[in-house]
Amino acid sequence: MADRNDIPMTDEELARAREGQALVAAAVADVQAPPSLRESIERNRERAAARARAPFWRRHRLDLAAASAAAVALVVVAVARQTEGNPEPSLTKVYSAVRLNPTKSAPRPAGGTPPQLAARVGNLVFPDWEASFGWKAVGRRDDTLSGRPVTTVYYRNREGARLGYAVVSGDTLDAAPPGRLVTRKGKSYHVASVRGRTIVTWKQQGHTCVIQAPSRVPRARLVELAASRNV
Amino acid sequence: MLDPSTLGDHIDRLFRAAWALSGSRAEAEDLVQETFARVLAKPRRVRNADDLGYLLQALRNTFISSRRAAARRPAPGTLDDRIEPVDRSTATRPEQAVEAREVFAVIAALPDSFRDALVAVDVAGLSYGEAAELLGTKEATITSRLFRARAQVARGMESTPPGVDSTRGDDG
Repeated sequence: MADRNDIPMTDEELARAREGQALVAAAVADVQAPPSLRESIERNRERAAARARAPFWRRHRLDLAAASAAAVALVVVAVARQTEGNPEPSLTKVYSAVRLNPTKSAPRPAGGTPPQLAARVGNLVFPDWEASFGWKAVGRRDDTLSGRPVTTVYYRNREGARLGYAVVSGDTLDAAPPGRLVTRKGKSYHVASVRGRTIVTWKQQGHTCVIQAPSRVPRARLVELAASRNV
Repeated sequence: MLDPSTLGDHIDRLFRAAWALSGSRAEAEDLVQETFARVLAKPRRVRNADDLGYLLQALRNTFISSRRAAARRPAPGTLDDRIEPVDRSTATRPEQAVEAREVFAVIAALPDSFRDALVAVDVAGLSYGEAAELLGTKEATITSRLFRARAQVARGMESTPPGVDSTRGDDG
């Protein structure tokens, strides 16, 4: 049976097709991948190449370590939930706090590989992203929301954009984060846009973590920063 | 084997294809990022050294998976996830930026079979034969779909109001 699309096109339709082809060609010629995406993929590619050169046990040691850490975290969370009845702050409260200005000076660099700052929540140490990603720590604030300490470190890049990276002390929050779910390095990140700001929410070492920045900072870049903690 | 050192040559084509599939520049960035992450996760064997065809297939699979996942997920109530970042590559040429965005939005709204043929040939630059192999159909079918898709793009652009997506912006 003949497909409807096999019916010959009229001259007018063929003229339209040529017009459409020209429109698409012009659009294609105008568009290039953004440099941030190109850089991010290039870093991924270099890591993949290094992984491929490494012996088997080294290629899989991070998976094993992550699996062990996840198992421990699950047990800790389960035990903590049985023994604690504290209320928890809403994600909206956390997002609002991150949007405020810093109240303290930036934590000093503490060295290490990858580089870290002298600020931590539990075992989670805030990163020093200046050398690797061009985001310099510029301030800090500490809030207590529904009885839970929330620490935010602020970073600024060379273009003057500021991001806030917050970690909620204690268990991960139960509320489902808003936005689209993306996966990087086997971890899930929720990415949402709210009133001109991009928010990435994820769980790290048993804590709820949030990165918030103006929407001019590419989402992929923010997810990349979040995923850089997953090493 | 897929050669990771040459994959960077295809980023532009893949980004355009992702934008035309999804109709969203931001989603295109995520799709390309995700596609490369999947492809680079382990060594891949590729037939006929056809890196681009393989990457486009991976991109299409990633796109379909993301659409299925999105359909299963309830939309967030009060949040606006439609804000697009500024296109830096056309930031100094606003007319072209708007035009390209409109064209990609029209392509994304085409019926799937038309959209896929047009993305493979006109956007990604595959030959008719390569597109037919990628989409599992005959070259003649690709030709027919492609011409009808192009005609629909021309019609769609006539009915697209100027400045579409002009609400998208950036707060600095």
